[in-house]
Amino acid sequence: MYLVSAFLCAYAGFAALCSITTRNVPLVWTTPPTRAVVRALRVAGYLLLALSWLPCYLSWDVPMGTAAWAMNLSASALALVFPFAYAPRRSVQAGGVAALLAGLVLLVN
Amino acid sequence: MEKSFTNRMDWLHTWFGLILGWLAFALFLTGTISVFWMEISHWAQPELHGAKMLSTPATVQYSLDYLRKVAPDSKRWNVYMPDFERHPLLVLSWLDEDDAQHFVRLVPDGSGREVTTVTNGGRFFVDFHWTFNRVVPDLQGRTFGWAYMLSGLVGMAFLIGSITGLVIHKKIFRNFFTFRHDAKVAQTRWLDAHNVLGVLAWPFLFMIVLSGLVFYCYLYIPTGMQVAARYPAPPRVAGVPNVGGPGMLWARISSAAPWSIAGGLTEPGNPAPNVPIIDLFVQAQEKMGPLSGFAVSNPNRDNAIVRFGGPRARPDVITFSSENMIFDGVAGRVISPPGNRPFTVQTITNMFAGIHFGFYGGTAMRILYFLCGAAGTIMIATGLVMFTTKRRAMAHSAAAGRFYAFVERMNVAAVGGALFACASYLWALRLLPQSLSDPSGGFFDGVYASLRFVPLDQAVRSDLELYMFWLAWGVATVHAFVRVPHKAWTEQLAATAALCIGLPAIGYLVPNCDIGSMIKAGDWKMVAVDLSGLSIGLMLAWTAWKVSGRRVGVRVDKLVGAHVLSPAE
Repeated sequence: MYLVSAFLCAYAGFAALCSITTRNVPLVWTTPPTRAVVRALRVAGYLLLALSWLPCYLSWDVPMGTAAWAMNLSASALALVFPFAYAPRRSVQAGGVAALLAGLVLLVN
Repeated sequence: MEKSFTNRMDWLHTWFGLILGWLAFALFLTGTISVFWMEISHWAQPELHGAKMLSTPATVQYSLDYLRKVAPDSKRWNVYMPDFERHPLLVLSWLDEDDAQHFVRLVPDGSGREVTTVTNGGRFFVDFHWTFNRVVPDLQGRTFGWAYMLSGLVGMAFLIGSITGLVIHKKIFRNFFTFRHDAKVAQTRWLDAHNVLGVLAWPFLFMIVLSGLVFYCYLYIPTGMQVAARYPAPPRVAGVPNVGGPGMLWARISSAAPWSIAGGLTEPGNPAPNVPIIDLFVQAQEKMGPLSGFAVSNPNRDNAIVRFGGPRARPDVITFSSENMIFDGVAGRVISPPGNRPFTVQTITNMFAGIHFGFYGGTAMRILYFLCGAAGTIMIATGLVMFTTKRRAMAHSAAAGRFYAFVERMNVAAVGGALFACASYLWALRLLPQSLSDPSGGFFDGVYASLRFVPLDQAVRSDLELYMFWLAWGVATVHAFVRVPHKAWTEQLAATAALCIGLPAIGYLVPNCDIGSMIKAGDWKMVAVDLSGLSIGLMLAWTAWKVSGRRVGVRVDKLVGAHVLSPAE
């Protein structure tokens, strides 16, 4: 279950970063995001990616958790990229839900 | 003409990628499957399915009772503990009066039932993905080959490919999330998929290939081993089972191999009461964690020695370990405590082996290994396909056209054929009759999967399984060269999908393998393999469907008009 939480958390982080990538902005936003929003999303994105280390650490330990974290980043980014190609807005919106769920799953644990 | 650095890297990436990619795909595919090789071995042995297993101490007691019954005067007993989480097979072995080794594979449920299905199981995928089933390492039997060098070459080429790939990509961060599935040019779609898979899984892919190469570096660059071999080898222990497999190489550099006894076999002493071995087991387990097995030399004699092997691969540590603890069997005192310090070379080797094998961290970690490995496998396949989609239209001569046609067919044979062969192999595991097994075949925990080229009437089950794999691949290759590539792709993917989807269904043809009663019995290891086969089959079916429509599948509204950027309208 920790892995699920880490996966959702990293997915949310990538979704935030993905939505402000220059190429993807017109796919996601109807009105261009303000500078502040972009900065907030960037910080949130990197923060969530870093935070996804926590469930990995809780489930394993520092070296194994870090290994799992790295692989989890790959897996969750791939899980975002392919749906994003077909439904950009939904995939990014799912990121918000994923962030909430990640916290919830962690709490339930 | 002066070529730029990027051009050179591009050339390297393209041609190393193409020529070795055909092999690399098969290696990556089987390597990815072998993440779950123990679960597949369990899946392939119906006797183990749904059995109510004993607890660990009960298993130890049961093993000792069994050995006391069949071999009371043996000079040595060996017990290889079952892995209850992954492949609960209990193997006992003993020496008879003539110091010949016997072993028996048991279901650890206390019933005394033997596991009569002697099969390559999941071990096949492990051995194939670095030896191509050509025998390699048996230091006593000396059956080295050269096929493993090929896998080393593929590994090196993969490392080159992964670095040159980064060099020629250039827009790694701008295209980090880019997969233009509706791009007008097929080339762009394949390129995006290739890039995204390669970049996102890059850390894993680089790490897994590097670790795979490094922990067997003394095989690929054998000079050090050859020099070392000039020095006297450590004395061979009498009656060591003639095991094949990497184990023998390990034994060569590690005197701490679980089956070796310090000082070799001594003559049996006089009968004397021994301390209960189960008590020693508990002590050793407290010190070292879940034990991989133990050996008793001269059981029930006044010179009895009990040696416990610590966990070879621990779930809680990445690196492999090779700890031992030796007890005096009469007095029960510790002769040699755990915590031996292996050579530096072995420490490094153990670390890379631990990273590569992924025995640590439990099923969740292995799921990550599997997913990232699958990403690498698909990445190689997209790269191969891209070679032809890029060039098909622009062959500048008849010879070039013929070459591209050949490449296209080779791609089908390499990608579709390997998938088809793996699925056929799983069918062979399930459907070949158990009666074909050779009960004395293989070594204690499995069979070393190498082709023996024996005639059909002498072939035992483990041979036939391999024949089926290679036969299926051969058939697929012929098919790839006979059919139009476009149709060959569809048909091979569809056939593989059908085989994978059929995996749970054929369980009903063999006793104790049907998924329904396994769910009831709570044997989730077995059920998981069936369901994974089913879901991979569904994905392959989807791929086959997409491939079949590719030629006519470009919709008119996608062809005309600008790319719609905003979905908001």
